[in-house]
Amino acid sequence: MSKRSTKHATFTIERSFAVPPARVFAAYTDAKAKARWFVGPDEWEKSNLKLDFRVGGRESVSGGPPGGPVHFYNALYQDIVPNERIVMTYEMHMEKTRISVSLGTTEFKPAGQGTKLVYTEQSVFLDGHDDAGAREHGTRALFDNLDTALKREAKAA
Amino acid sequence: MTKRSAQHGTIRLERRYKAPPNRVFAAWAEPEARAKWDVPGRWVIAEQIFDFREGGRELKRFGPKGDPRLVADTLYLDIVPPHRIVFSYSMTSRGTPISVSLTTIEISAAAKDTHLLLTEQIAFLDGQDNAANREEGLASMLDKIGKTL
Repeated sequence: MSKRSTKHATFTIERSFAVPPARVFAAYTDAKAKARWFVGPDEWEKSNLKLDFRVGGRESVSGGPPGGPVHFYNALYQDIVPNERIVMTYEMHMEKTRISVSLGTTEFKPAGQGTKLVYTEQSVFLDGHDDAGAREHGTRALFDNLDTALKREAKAA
Repeated sequence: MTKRSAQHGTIRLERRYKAPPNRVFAAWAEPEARAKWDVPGRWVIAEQIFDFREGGRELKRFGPKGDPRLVADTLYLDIVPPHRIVFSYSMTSRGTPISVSLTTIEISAAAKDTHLLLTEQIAFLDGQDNAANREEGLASMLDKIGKTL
């Protein structure tokens, strides 16, 4: 019998973007836009991101290092206020093992011409898998990707 | 226009029940057993759809007698009988968002009794509820479990 354990954690990430909330929010609303930034490290193998962006809708994507374990992400959208807020829950699996479940709140606030984004993640890590430090680190990398995608889009416009 | 906000909190509650772990687990897993305690205090359940399995979605409409305005929409995420249940739920009042929660129930043997630990991580939306009020509701339900056992 495996030893069952849980570890609860919360972290918050704040980011500023030069573009207004509607533009940042748009990066979350369809699979094509989201796949530009919601990805693991460059060398990871990826699957197609599937996104049904509405309350009650699901999202899924998987990926992982070449030859390494495949990570699966499955989300459920719980609350959406266009251009202002997204609340979702998601679970992570490594191969067949569920390693965590999280509640993620993203708030988009106008700040001058731009946007202040506040992301709060409340998680439970299961049976000793993963930990809050690694999750926060990985999530910060996603926001770096988002920043790059928004800047590239602004330059192309 | 509504002023949007999100307040985050965590509630932890513990109980010791004079029953074995599998009976405490059954109070969550079995519809008949759960219907006996699944609302705070003297509130009533107007409608309830049970689907207790990983990936299962449940709906519960409930509230004060004569005004069952609240809806809880639950998704079961992790179930390890009789040790652990992890689920998320959103709560709305006539369509207005109140909160989204991630709840972990841990059940373990403690001598001849059972220890239950509830950890609820919550985002309260637009000032519609708060941690003190939610804790009171959850505590009432855990006490009712003790009575049904």
